[in-house]
Amino acid sequence: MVMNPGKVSSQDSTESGDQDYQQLRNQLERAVRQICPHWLRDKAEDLVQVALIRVFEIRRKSEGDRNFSSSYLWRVAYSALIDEIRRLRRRKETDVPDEELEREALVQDPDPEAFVAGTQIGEGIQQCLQKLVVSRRMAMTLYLQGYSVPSAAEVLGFSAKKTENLVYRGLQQLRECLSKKGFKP
Amino acid sequence: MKEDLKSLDRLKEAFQSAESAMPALETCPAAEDLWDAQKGLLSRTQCHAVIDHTSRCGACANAWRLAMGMDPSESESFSGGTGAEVIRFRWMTPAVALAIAAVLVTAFAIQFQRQRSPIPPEVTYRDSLADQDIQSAIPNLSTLPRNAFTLEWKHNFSQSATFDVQVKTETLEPVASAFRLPEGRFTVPEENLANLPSGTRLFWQVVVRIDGEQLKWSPTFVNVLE
Repeated sequence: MVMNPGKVSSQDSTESGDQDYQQLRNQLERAVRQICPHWLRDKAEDLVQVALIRVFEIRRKSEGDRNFSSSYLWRVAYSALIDEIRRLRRRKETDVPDEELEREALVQDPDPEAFVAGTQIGEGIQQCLQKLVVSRRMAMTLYLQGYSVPSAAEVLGFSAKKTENLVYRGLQQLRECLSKKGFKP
Repeated sequence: MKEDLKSLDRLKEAFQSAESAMPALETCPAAEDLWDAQKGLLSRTQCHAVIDHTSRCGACANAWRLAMGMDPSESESFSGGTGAEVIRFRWMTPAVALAIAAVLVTAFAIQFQRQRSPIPPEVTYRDSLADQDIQSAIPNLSTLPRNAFTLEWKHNFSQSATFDVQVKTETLEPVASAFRLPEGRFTVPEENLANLPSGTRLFWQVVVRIDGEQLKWSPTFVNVLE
């Protein structure tokens, strides 16, 4: 369902209000489009609308005094997106898959066998990570998410040397653990 | 060497495709917390708790990657309700704009972090600034069994309040954490305590959220592992 943007913009009926509304909308639109997964593209417009409503709600609570930095707007757009993904997943757990979720499966699953094998190793990695000491686990998690060692160090607030060591030992332990589970990493 | 790199890529790819073993959504951090953690806007302790959660929750790990892909630094700021026009500087080259944006974002991040977590948990330990409206319902330093290490707290907040709880060892190693609990009670999973010797003192602290935004920190409470 796509809501009529006019409903929201009518709250600010002056010309400057319309201009504000358009700028705000453009920013939220840009934010949503940058990360919206393929399978949710059809819902991008709805997500922008949800984010807009949230921003207007915050503004209403602050009696119109609130200024929004772009970082804040992107955060609102992000949370609207994640909440929607979570809502769909919750439905997936309880309901029969619908069209959107089937589309998601198709996008994620071009080769079903490879997908299942990859998912199994993924689960194995998650289980093995839980056997690591916490600092090693955190460093490894970021590393597996695609962070370089220096970037992971920055996020964790550790020194680069310490992080390098954590990743090095973590990788060793992870490989040993996966081998025991029958996976050849 | 090449083989090593391939193997690393395979590991990363497999981890990023893992969706299973998803904990109940009630225990997942709020989307705003995932964003703040990824953007370096949370305190170190809170950020660590979120990262640790993503190590076992494929959905949140995926959400973290989405935040990685979102870069607001190129956008202009929006001044809601003032009607102010966005000024575009024609002399501004992309490199200059990027540099200015980076400085502004860093300044905003620092300011936001100060506002958001004025009392980081490391500092609030037995600090009088912590919110005294949240009190442990278990006697301080009492011993709790491994199979029922249940933490409870009393509070005066409305029913819309939710709670995050973090449990740590004396050396501040995270033991367990939970997010958005609807009630003042949390049981530390027994497997999280498996490697800790009897008599270990566990420190725990509660964060109260109201309307998903406001933060209030409890004092730090201590209980002992049987």
